Amino acid sequence: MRSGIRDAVIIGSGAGGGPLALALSRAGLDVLVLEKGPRFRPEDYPADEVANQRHRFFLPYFEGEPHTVVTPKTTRPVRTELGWIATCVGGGTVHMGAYLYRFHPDDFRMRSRFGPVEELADWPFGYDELEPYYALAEREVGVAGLAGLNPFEGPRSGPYPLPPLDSHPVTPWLEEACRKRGLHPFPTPRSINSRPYQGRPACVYCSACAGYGCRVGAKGSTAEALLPRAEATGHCEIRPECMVKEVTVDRQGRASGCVYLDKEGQEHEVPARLVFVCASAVESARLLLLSRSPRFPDGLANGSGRIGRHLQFHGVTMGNGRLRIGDHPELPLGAWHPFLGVSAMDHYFLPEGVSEIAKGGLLRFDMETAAPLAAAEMLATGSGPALWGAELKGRLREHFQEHRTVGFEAFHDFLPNDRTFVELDPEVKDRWGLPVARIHLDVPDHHRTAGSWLLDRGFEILDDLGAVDLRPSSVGGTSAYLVHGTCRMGTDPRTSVLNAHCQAHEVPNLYVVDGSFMPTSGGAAPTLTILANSFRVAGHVIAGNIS
Amino acid sequence: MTGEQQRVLAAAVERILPSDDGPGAEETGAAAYIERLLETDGFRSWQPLFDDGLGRLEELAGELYGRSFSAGSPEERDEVLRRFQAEPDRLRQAFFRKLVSFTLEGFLCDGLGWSYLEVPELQPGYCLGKPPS
Repeated sequence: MRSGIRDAVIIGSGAGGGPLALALSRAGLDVLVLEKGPRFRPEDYPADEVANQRHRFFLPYFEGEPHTVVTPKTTRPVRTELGWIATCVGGGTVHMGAYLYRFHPDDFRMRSRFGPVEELADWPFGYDELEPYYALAEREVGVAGLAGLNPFEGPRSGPYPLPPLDSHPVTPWLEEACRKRGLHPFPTPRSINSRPYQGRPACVYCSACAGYGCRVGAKGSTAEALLPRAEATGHCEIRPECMVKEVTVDRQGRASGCVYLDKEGQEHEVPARLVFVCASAVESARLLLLSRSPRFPDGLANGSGRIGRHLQFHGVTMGNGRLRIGDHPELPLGAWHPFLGVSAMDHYFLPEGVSEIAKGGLLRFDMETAAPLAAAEMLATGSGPALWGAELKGRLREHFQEHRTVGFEAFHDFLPNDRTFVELDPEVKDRWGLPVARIHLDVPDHHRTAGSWLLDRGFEILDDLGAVDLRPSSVGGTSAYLVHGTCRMGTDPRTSVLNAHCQAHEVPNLYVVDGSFMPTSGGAAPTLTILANSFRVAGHVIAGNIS
Repeated sequence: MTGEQQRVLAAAVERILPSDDGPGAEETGAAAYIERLLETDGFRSWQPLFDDGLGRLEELAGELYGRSFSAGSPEERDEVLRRFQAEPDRLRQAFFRKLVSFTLEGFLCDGLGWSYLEVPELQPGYCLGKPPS
């Protein structure tokens, strides 16, 4: 540190903050990363469904830090976990399923392709501009996959850095079922090491993966893959358990740094030349709205009044079916393997007439995730009166010993609309006395229509494979943890918050670099796009600093 | 929990996951697990419902058989649980579903439960789910 003023302060250490930390510190900038949550070592992550799913290991203390939500059906705001991703160094990339798909080129031009439906907008840049950064992000976090099999993907400048992961021996049968339906299956690209990579070990196929932190460090989270390398440059400090409450401004209206609370509640001021807000779409918007000053009475860089608008999650559709091992002597079902990494992009666009817009999503098949307790509870209390006694025990034995469960998941677009946004809650405060984020959520009919169609396509394949007890678990639902859009990127400062470089129109040394910038949500999980865009923004910042 | 509540809880979970051809709630310590769970942040709010529900089980056992729920035979306790489940009270139904869920959790948070179900992808101990304090 020179003179006490940092070159860059990065608020948040997930998919947005991680790449910035690495790229900027590698370029020699003096970087401070402030993360609200604690810093874990891989062995700290519990391989424990109860701790992860029930006790919300990665989420903030619920009573002390809720969000609130209002929907067309609610009369009063209710406390919710909607919009929280993870509170720890590495953010959501720690417990992500690590399905790192690229967006389709048309995801960048939704308005041009589909017209003025809801609040669709084009991105100010296209797939071609992001492609080199997709490739860079795939190399930096280590994505395992096989290029060339997915005919719907945009052009690639190179192969995946790692070969696909191993998968369950039943995989070829599933791929064949897909092909018979005219689909083009390809191995699901995941940022999990199929071989040792950049000093981190290969996957041990333990199954505590999606929803869990990787206990061996094989998952390409920013905490494992990027931040330690940023620290190794000697130019990056990562400070956990720092809750940033305000981005400060100087007399000229430029960002001057931020103020954070340490875990004892003590305030600290960090002066910085560049401020990067990377706290996830809901919390980044909240932080800017909390940062009021005479110059920015409605929140920092919010002259347009657009901060918090266009909040998007993801449409999510899921279903599963069971294969009775004894009924399928031809299938190697008895073998055990956590992954069945098969994806298909054939339904990314819907046939005309299915829904308001012809946009579907990416279909991904997998073995049932490592949540047997949830599966057991579903058997016992999923429908009708709760089962118990000998009947319950029989059902448990039957499910776990005699069946394998195969599931699929489709993430599809969340249409940006003027009824879904985030604002400061006028009543509820967090444990620091700051207003929490209030989410207004209204889900367009398209989500359910598209979801229902995608569900049928998934069930077709499971049915062809011989699965029974086909059961939907979500149809056009709303993902709680994939958030975008609250600081929309655009060319017009009256209708957008950020320019094409994620730089605030009104405050040139303030950047918002997470999912907040995204004008539309894309038809696949956005993590790789957020990582790639962060590298892209870093490139722009470094070029500006050198010139 | 009072001593009586502990006895009713233990006697109830034994019937929810009985020890028949393999371990059940008793061998896996499900009752103690539930008691600990109800003392954890985010779960304390269930305690009043458990107070009421366990009290009602005891009351029903008295009405039907003239003795404590925990002193009843397995068949008697099953009958009390069936009667309880047939009562229309919504809060009590919510309690009963939670009781079943928490019993499963206690059962599956013990290596014995995993081994018995032969959940192959999960090593015994995988889910030794002591709630984080």
